[in-house]
Amino acid sequence: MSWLGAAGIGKCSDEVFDEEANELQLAQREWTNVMEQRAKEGYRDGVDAGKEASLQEGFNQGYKQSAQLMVKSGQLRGTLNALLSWCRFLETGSAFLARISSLLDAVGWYEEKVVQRLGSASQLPQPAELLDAVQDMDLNIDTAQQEECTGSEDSMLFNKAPDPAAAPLKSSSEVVLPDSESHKMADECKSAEQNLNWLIQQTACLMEQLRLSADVIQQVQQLEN
Amino acid sequence: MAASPREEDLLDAIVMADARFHGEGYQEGFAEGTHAGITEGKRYGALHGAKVGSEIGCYYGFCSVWRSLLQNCADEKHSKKLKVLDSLLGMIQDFPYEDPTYSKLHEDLDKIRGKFKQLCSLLSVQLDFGFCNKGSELAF
Repeated sequence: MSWLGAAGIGKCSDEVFDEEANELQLAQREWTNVMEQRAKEGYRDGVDAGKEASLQEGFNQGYKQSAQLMVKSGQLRGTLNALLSWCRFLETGSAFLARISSLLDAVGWYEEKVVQRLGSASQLPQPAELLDAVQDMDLNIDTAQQEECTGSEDSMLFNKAPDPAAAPLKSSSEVVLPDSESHKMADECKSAEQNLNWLIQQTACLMEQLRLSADVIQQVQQLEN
Repeated sequence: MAASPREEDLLDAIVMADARFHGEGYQEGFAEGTHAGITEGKRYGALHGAKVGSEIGCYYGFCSVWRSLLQNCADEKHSKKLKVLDSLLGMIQDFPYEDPTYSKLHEDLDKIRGKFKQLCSLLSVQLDFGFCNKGSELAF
């Protein structure tokens, strides 16, 4: 503990206080300490004031962005819940129940992931990042989807969302972002967006099979980015 | 006893130094605090907005599909259900769910929830209670 020594504590000698020069040094040190203390106090006051002034604004920004983001998956969840309750009324509906339930689970999983990201990430994905993510998405999924729509029903019943790792993504270097953290986030956005779009397509297919009217199917398809 | 001008200067310098150090620290802190406040506020706001957005979207999706289904039935007995559906859809569309500064956000949301419960019992839909606002269990 060097400060014990510097302060002369623990020593019998009180030579530190003997000399005038040391006294001056001590006064200087004290002055510096006081001023540092004042700067620290100012800093603390500033942090408090700055926070207080900006918390609400930050809250409003974050609220709006994520409300607009989550209203889509919410709408998909509501749609699937309506289909689920409808199919329980239909005699022929039971064949669809398992598929609707698994889609509902997937939407729930998606929402959970997004909320986790919102709770941990300091920044929401910016629209520009999302746009990049959408543009970078591999379109093979769309064609595969079309085939599934017209293909056998059984094959699409229990299909899981495409594995993000298996779906080839273009290099993230095309997305111009400042650091690796943003790269990671952009990648996460990509797979999340991809999954949601896939779920939307699946739900629209299901609605076609259940012979829902075109306008309400279109409403769901419009959720796609 | 009046202090000499020199002493006053010195005193001023001391007092000013005190204020200056405090002020410099304050400015630095204010910038930091603003940044931290925006970040922290965004995070809390995002979680709340996610909850409300998802819930409102869920009601909207549910009602749109049921409305379409019942309209196609063209059955007289559905007129009451359709009326409630239309009124609920109207409430949802008028609800500025994305505006956290809207003063009646909670009030309106509660009305929508109440109407939704009414709708579900009319449709005799057995729903897991709160399937649309399961988000309220999210940890903050």
